[in-house]
Amino acid sequence: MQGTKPKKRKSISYDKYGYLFVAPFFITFIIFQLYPIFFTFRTSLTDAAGWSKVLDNSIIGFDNFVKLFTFESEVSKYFWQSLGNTVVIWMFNFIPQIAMALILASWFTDTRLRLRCQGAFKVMIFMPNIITAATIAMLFYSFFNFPIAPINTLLQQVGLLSSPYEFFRSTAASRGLISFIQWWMWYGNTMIIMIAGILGINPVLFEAALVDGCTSRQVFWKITLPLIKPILLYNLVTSLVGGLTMFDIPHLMTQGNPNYTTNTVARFIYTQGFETPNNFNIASAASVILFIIIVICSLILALLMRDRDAKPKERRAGK
Amino acid sequence: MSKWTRLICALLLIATACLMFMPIATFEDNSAAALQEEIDKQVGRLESEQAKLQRYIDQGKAQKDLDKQQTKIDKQQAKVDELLAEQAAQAENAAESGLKYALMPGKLPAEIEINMQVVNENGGIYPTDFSDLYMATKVAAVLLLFAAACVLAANGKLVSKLYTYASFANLVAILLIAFSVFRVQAIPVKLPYGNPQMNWPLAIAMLVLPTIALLVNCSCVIGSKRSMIYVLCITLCVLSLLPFWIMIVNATRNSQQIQGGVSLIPSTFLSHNWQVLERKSFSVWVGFKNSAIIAFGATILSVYFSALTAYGLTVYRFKGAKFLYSVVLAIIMIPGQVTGTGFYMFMYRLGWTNSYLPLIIPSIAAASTVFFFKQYLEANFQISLVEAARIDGAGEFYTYNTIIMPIMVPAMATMGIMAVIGSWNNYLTPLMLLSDPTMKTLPMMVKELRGDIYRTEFGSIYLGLTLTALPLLIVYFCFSKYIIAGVAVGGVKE
Repeated sequence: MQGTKPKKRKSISYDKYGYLFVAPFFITFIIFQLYPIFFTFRTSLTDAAGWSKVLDNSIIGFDNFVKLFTFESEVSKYFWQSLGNTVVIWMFNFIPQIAMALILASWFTDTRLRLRCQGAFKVMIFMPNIITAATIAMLFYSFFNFPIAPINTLLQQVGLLSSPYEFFRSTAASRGLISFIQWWMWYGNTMIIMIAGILGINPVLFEAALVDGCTSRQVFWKITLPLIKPILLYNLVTSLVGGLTMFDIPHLMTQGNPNYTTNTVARFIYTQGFETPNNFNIASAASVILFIIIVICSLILALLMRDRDAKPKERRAGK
Repeated sequence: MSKWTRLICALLLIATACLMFMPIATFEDNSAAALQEEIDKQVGRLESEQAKLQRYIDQGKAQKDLDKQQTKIDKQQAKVDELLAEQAAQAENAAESGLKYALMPGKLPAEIEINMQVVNENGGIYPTDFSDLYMATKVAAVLLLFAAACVLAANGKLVSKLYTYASFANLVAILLIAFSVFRVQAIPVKLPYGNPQMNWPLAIAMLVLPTIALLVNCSCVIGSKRSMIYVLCITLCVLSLLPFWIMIVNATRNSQQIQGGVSLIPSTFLSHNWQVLERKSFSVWVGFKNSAIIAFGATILSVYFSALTAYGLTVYRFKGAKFLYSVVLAIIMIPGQVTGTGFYMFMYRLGWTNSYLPLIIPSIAAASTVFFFKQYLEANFQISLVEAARIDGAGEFYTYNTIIMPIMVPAMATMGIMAVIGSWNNYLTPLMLLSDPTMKTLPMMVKELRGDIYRTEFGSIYLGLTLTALPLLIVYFCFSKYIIAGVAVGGVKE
């Protein structure tokens, strides 16, 4: 506030320094993020298939998109299949993740339960999140391998399996495993964000509820949940973006197998662009479609949440 | 807990105990099917003999040959008749086909034999002694009844410890029943009996009913709820730690030990595994160095310039500042993977592939870090500090570097750790840009461990994985407070 006032005589305005301070950020952003986005859009309209055309390609219009949308072609089949796989894997990871995070967060912030060792629980539950996803993918691959690997051996020793099970030959097991790893890596993160959100709610509300004799369940559904809606939205959007661009774990653990049923969109883009025959144009077109999907989903979610928040404000303004 | 809830709870538990007496699995009697197979085979043979006779007649062979063939056919016919008679006799006797198994009296039917071929083919580690199964079911039944008794005996007292005992007994019983069901389901049975056909609705009922009882107990009694929450949290902690612990332990064991099963106690083959890794040119130190260069380079740039940007946006009221800040917020949502192709092709044009520059320099524009710093500055910074510095004649950048930066150290530490971890864990971008093997980062080297050359060296795979994870584990346990604080603040927007 103070910065705007000194417009009196002779005072020096320092405000132009602001441009200098923010310049590096925005210059870098334009060169390394904005321009590549435009470049991706441009490449999606070219015939840049193969190494020879990386530098020397020409615009051919919407052919690549047409190729991805004509459902007979091989490429489009793989693309839409990978999109479907991604959504399935994401759903089976996200729903348990948000449920678990919400339940744990409501317990950890419940004043009536007064749980001990919360700090230690948080530290350990969050831990898988910071370990390299590539390492975790490879670790679980080693655990669930066939025929001799810790999980198969253990299940046989306990007597729950009579012969080793090929987890990575089964679509359900492979997808389930990827969803499980994603859940395992991220529910701690979501939980911590939720706890921060719940702790940010004015404690007076909870005290009033306590005085009025609300049960824990009522407090959760009537006070906590409505008030952390923005945080839920944030989580939903970040998880959606993260889920749709899931790459490391499917790439290293299942390599899209069995039968491309764990091939995600990000892996489709990578295999198209960075494995022979290097169809950069198809990869870019798929990226553009993915980008548009992400933007649309984020906007829809934002609007859904904004609408409900905006209504009481309007009423207040009307008074 | 009201009288009726207690009664329902106890009834559910007792009902489960009763359900355990119902047959959970059926071992189909395959002898009829085997007989049918035999009949089909013999009938096929008979038909071929008859066809042969017809052919002989067509060819006009000697009567002697034809007679010979006829006797052959008669013999075959007799065989078939015999088998058919046997089948008919069996059909009369076999009123109930298949043997039933219930969890509760708990004895496998005497006719059932374990298919030792399956067991031996797979290393003979499957336990063919079922005393653990019988024990588990009996204990489960006792625990269910105990839990029911506890709930009934608690007599309406809300703070009775009995509810907590009931919930523990209930939980253990559920786990034991689940174990028993899956143990039965996996029994490999020798012919003529088939593998167990499970009665899944019954199995699900046996698991769902006590779970409902447990949930009712926990939702009504805060003591039970708290103890069950502790159990769940401890389970989740174990789930988080165990994979890494097994990884570290396996890094110290040799292939035979790892094949022999899971262990939680380290062994002594660490140096052997290390030598294997060295021999196979898994150059951890190179990967470590490369990752460190990128991570620290990127972190320093990202922290310094993000703080600079946040400061610029907070302190100076220039035209478009608000717009630029909303741009920053929008950037947070752009996922890097989506622009990967364009980014790569752009870098290829610049000739920056196989260089660390495209991995380090773009981190100057770290939008979420700017957001975090701006939040921090708004809470912890007064403009008077800057004004005082200006009066003393300090330049703007001098003020920033000597006065503002020290204020921001706590925030910078938090974001710095987050940036190091984020950059260290990045897999896709280096994978696209770096093809020179000497420039590989640590996450990229993980893929080498999938190769055929490690097929028999399990210990060294785990050692390689441990080496890629260990730096992060150490950093995490030293700075977990900052990291969790960073995550928490990152999420609280609006």
